[in-house]
Amino acid sequence: MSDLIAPSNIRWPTRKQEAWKYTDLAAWSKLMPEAFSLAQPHAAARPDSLWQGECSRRLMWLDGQFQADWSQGLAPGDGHDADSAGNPALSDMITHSRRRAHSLSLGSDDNCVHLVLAQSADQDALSHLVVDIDIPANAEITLIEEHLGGRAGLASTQINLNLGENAQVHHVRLQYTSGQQMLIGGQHARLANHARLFQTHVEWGGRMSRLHSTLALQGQGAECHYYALSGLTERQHVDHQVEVRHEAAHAISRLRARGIVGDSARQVFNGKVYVARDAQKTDSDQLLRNLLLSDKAEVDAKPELEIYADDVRCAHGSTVGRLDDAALFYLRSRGLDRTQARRLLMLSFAERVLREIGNEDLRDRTRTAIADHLSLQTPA
Amino acid sequence: MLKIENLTAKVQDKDILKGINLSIGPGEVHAIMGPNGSGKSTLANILAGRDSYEITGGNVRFEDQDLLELDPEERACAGIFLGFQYPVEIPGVSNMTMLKAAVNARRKAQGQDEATPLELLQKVKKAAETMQVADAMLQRGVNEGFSGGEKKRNEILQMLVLEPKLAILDETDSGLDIDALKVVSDGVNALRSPDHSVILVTHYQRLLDHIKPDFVHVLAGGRIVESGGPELALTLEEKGYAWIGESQQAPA
Repeated sequence: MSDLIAPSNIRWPTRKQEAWKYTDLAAWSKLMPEAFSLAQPHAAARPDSLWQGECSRRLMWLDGQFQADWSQGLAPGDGHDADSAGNPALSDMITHSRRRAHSLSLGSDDNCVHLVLAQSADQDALSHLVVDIDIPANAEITLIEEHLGGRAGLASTQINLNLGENAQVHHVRLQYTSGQQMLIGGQHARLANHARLFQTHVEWGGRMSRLHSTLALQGQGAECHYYALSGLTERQHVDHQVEVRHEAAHAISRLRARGIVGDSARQVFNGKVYVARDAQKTDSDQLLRNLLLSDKAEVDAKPELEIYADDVRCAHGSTVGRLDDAALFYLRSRGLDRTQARRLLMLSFAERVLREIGNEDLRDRTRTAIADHLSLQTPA
Repeated sequence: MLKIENLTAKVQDKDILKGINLSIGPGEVHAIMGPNGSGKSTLANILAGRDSYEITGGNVRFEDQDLLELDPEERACAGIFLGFQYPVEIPGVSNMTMLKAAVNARRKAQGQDEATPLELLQKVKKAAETMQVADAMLQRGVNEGFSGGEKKRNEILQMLVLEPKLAILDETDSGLDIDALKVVSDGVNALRSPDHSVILVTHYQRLLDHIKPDFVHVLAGGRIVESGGPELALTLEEKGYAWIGESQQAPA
């Protein structure tokens, strides 16, 4: 097998497939490098991550390849399936990628797990990584997932979370890969009775980043809280497709997505809430809010409901706005220049999501990083 | 320190200011009173640099600068402060964060180093004490969920921290109960000194029971139609605005 694969030799999903309507990979493939590398990755030094605290396990990958030297704590086991199961639209891409699968069974000592999915800066890799994570009943776990580095490669990751009864997971996912990197992410979470999943997704990196989530509330009284924030400039493109499946009664779901979209960037968010016939007393709401910073920026936000039960509370809303002139003048009248004033107003908008990051140090670093990124945009 | 000459301005096609002349010396407190719609708030906002008005004539000198040429932040750094009639809420950005940025912007403009955290904290604490603002409020988002009175107290707190050469307070007394009015007045009086001038834009005489102005002006129909000492405010209180011949507006 050659170490190179041309994007033109891969069958990509197109906009004709509903889920890929706003991220037409066949079109994006024109912006990909002439050839992706399938070679063994190497990097001289362990890349820096935003999370600097202690965790019982730190697991690092480079171009989808597990890096034992950079990791600490118990290494993950081999997974059973790195194939395209459940992802037919991407099957050809996955077949052509460097593929790895791992499985991670967390124990009672794993209160904090740090996953770093780094991309190397000296090749344009095409990789596909699957990580299955089992969270036992009654466990309380913090997962910190960081996507960083890269060049013009394409990294595909599928993270599957299986929460046992009454398990509680705080999951922070930070995506700040370098400017031309592309990412295709998937996550499939299953929640047993009274399991609770709190996710905070913050993205400000990469050329194109897609995240497809399926959150299945299979047990009674399960809860998922999906918070997302993107800060986009230049021609960045972020597309979140979220499907919450209420399959049992008394479950709660919250979707809160905020996008700050500048320059010619584009933010897509489709949130679909499905309520099965037996999922009575479902309590669900989703609120999508976007801030447009330029006339060329674009937002596509669509909340959707599909309800088969009759005793439910489901709400949704979507707004698009601009920076408030009155607030801008207020801050400038205090001496802040336009750039500083805009920065504070963007942070004001972002804080609703950022405050969900429980660790103060990580929250501060994330806040600074996304604000620095947004400050690079050309003032409108 | 501030000299306004024949200032005219309009919003859309409506003339709001029709030739304002006003001089304010160092350390002086001027009250500008007048009926609704007379142009008081427009004047206050124009001095602070709000760009929703079209200035059609006249000029404004502040110390040795042409004020109308400066951006709002340049005016702030030169020593002008506007206390807003409707202070803006900025959730998620704490009062402390904003005050730090404001203090340091000013210091930078004056070629000074940033304030140390301790310096800043002492300054803010002192102002918070005067304004009876609790520590917890300083950590909350700017005006986030504040009552009307809390917002006004927060404006004066910011003023005390920033120590402007000229504070323009736009209806800072509106919506205050008697106790809050007293606190706000104490705050303004705390700033009073030969180095700090104040323009009080107000509707009612009651604020002037607590802050004694050196001069009182009546603004009506876009012009200053009367000027005098504190006794003018008492006359207005007694007779309303109707007795002023040029006023075309009904009193509130």
